[in-house]
Amino acid sequence: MRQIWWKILCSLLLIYTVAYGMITEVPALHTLHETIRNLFYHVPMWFTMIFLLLISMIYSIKFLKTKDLKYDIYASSIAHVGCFFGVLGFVTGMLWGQYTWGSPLPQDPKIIGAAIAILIYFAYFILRASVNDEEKKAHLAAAFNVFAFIMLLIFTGVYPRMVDSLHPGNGGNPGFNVYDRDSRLSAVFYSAVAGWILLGLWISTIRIRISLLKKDNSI
Amino acid sequence: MGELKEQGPEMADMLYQNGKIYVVVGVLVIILIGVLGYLFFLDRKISKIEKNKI
Repeated sequence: MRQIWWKILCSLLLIYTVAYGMITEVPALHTLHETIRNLFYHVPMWFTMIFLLLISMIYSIKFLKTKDLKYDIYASSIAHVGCFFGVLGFVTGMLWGQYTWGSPLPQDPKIIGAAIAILIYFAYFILRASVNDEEKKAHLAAAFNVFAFIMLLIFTGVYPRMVDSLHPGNGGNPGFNVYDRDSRLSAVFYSAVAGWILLGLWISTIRIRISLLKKDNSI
Repeated sequence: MGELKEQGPEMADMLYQNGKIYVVVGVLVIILIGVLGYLFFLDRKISKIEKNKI
């Protein structure tokens, strides 16, 4: 197994944050109560999604520059795993919202924006599946991937800040820096983000290696 | 109970007194170790296939 150290680091970070996040002391907040612990589980899903999709877009740009089909496989595999984490973030958010905001899908711009962004990525996979010519598919998909990532940033990063939102950091609500002041939360939170991002990268490398093996087999 | 509510939002004080939250933490850790171990196993399996190719 190549480069095992970061996989071990990933495992240690995840075991530490999942376990410690349950037993660490958290600030007593109204409405949220113990669910503030979801900060260690729900939020890293979105951070991981955005990080993976950024890497995916970088590989798409690399493909457009070099025309090397290897980079197209990298981009699509990483986007796959990124969207998987996005769906996990969406579903965990629905459960959290049900018990704090009173509805799994309140009329919130961040939720709608995230849903649109994920749908744009579904369109990316449909586009890939609908073109048979490998070169053409790679070109179209790479161009679409750059567009999709920019739309993701607009729909989850810009648009929710322009209107009222229930999410922290949007529409006049305090952002994560409120929690940053609480060092107990931020230590676990940033370790969790690092751990889940590493896990996302790990699963991506497995997907990439399977795709490369498949490609070698077909020749 | 009335006194508790006046002090602020109610947290899982009872749960911690009983101490059984650690049972849940144990279950979570076991599941996580299992899943991560499986991922290591898959990783090695793919490495072996890659070696056989060459």
